[in-house]
Amino acid sequence: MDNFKKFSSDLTAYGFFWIFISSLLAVGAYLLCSRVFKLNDLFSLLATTVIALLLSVGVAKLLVMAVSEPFKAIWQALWQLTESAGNVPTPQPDKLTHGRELAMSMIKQMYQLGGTQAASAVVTTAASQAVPAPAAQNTQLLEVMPLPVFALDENDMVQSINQLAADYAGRPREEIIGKSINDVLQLSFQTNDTLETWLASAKASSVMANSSWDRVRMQVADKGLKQFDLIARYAKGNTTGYDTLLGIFDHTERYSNEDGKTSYVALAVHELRTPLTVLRGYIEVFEDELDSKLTPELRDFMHKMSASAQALTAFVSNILNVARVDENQLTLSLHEANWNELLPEFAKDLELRAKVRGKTLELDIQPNLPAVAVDKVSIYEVISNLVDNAIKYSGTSAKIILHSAVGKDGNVETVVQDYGVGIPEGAMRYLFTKYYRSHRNKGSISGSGLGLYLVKAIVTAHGGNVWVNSKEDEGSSFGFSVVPYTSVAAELKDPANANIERQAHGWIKNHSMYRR
Amino acid sequence: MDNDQHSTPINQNGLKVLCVEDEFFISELYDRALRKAGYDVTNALNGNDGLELAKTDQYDIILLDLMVPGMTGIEILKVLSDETKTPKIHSKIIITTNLVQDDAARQEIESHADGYIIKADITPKELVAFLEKLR
Repeated sequence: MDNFKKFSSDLTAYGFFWIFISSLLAVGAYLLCSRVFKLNDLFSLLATTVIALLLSVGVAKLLVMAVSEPFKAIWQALWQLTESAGNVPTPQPDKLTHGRELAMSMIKQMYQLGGTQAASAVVTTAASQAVPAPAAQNTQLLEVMPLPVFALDENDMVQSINQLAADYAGRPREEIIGKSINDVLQLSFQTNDTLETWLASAKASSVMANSSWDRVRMQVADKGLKQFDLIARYAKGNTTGYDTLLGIFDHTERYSNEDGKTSYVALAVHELRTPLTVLRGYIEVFEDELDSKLTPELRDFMHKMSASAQALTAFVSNILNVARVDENQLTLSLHEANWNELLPEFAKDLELRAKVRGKTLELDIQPNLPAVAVDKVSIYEVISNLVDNAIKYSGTSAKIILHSAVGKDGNVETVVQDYGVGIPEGAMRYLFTKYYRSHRNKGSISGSGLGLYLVKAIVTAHGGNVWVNSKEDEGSSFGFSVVPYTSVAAELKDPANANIERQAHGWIKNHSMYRR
Repeated sequence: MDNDQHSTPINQNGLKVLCVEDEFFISELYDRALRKAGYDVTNALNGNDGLELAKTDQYDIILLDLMVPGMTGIEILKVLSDETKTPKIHSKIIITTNLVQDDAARQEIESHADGYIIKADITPKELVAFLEKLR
């Protein structure tokens, strides 16, 4: 309402000023004609009338402009909110001399009512406007947008942002402006098509480009994980001074509700883990303190009990990790590790499970392998799943071998080899699919069909590959590779990133520092 | 016989452990394994007792379950790491839990603790080995 009053009084003063001036000019013109040029009254009146007419037209035009300019801006804004904006230019309320506050507040209101969908149209049209205007004036335009907006120059440096964007990023403007967008926002995308790669390709190949991404993630200090849709508009050498505009549509609540589906898995896993902890604990006491007192048969039973509790623990972890992979919540933290030490450690842990099934686990590891970059917990699950499979499918053959050596590409390859039933050729290509179980084994060998799916997800997130070789009735070998630590150590430009984080199933960090 | 073992540990190592754990079976197992390894163990079955005991700062190690009745482990951790509420204690705090957490929540908790253990993944003996490494 205050803006309206201000506009009214502004107009009154403006109208009063011009009408007063024009009246004075008319009187002046009459006096000039009659006194200075000594014209008779009729001529003087006629000349004065002509001058008054011209003045009135000018004043009327001025007044109409003063009233209609704010209306025009509001009208433009209204059109921007409709789908068919066509050639209607973006309103520039900041340039108005009269009613600027009124127009800006009304446009802001309209954009808010129009919702974020329409605002995206505004973002893109604003970027494409060919209205020559210094960048500073556009700041006010960003400010009226009802969503966080970042404006970048041709080098992806943040030139300008609105208050909403500063709030969303949880940092003051000064800390954002002038920095590279990739440093300011630590974005994670679902696919390799990240903002950074898109911008690079847009710059290389197009003058104008638009893109949008669903479910982008960003960790904000003190505010936790934000999830949103991101839109971007690139226009080369744009006269607004901004080459790229980014808009954020926050959906943190909706997306995290959807992620909540994992919570029942989480609940089940918690409830399963407690009795498992207890079982494994008491079994361990028995193993320690009864071992020497038991008959060989009872000792064998005890080992079977222990191995089964271990296998159940591994299965519970599988369920949880598959849920995490599916919800893009499995995060790996890569560290430097000595594979020559780690692999025997893992094998020792799996030995009992092999032993109670009558299998022996042999190691064939090339000495002095290069240090690898792995997430210890997750890579253990890879090996545990592959060895469990080898135990299950090795039939009457007892031997399982864990080979490890440096591959042709310099990656460290590990292969779990069994001499069992093998895999029918038709089943090979489905092996790493979730829930897939070969028909031939379905009836005879129990399994969830989750193991290899998880193996692939974890290894891929490590930057490695999985493969399989098999011949029916001769056995199978499942292999995977992990990268040497030296190849990712270079990513640690910043000592603050003491470990490298990877997310399984394709959450890709935007910044190249995290990618290979 | 069990009691004898409790009162006369074989090699007392002089280290005191507070175990905040509501599941009695787990508490019993940890207590037994730690005593056998020479630790002096105190058990707290709920969060409020756990916090009161922790505040006395007489423990070298605190094993803290996140899901205990009364005050949760997370709340205890917050009080203990907030120096305006509690004078700084020297105890090393190890989170022991079976809770499934997202990575952000876990990292937040880990930043206030000296260790984080999934109970189902380790046996009592492995817990002892972990504490030995910590020293």
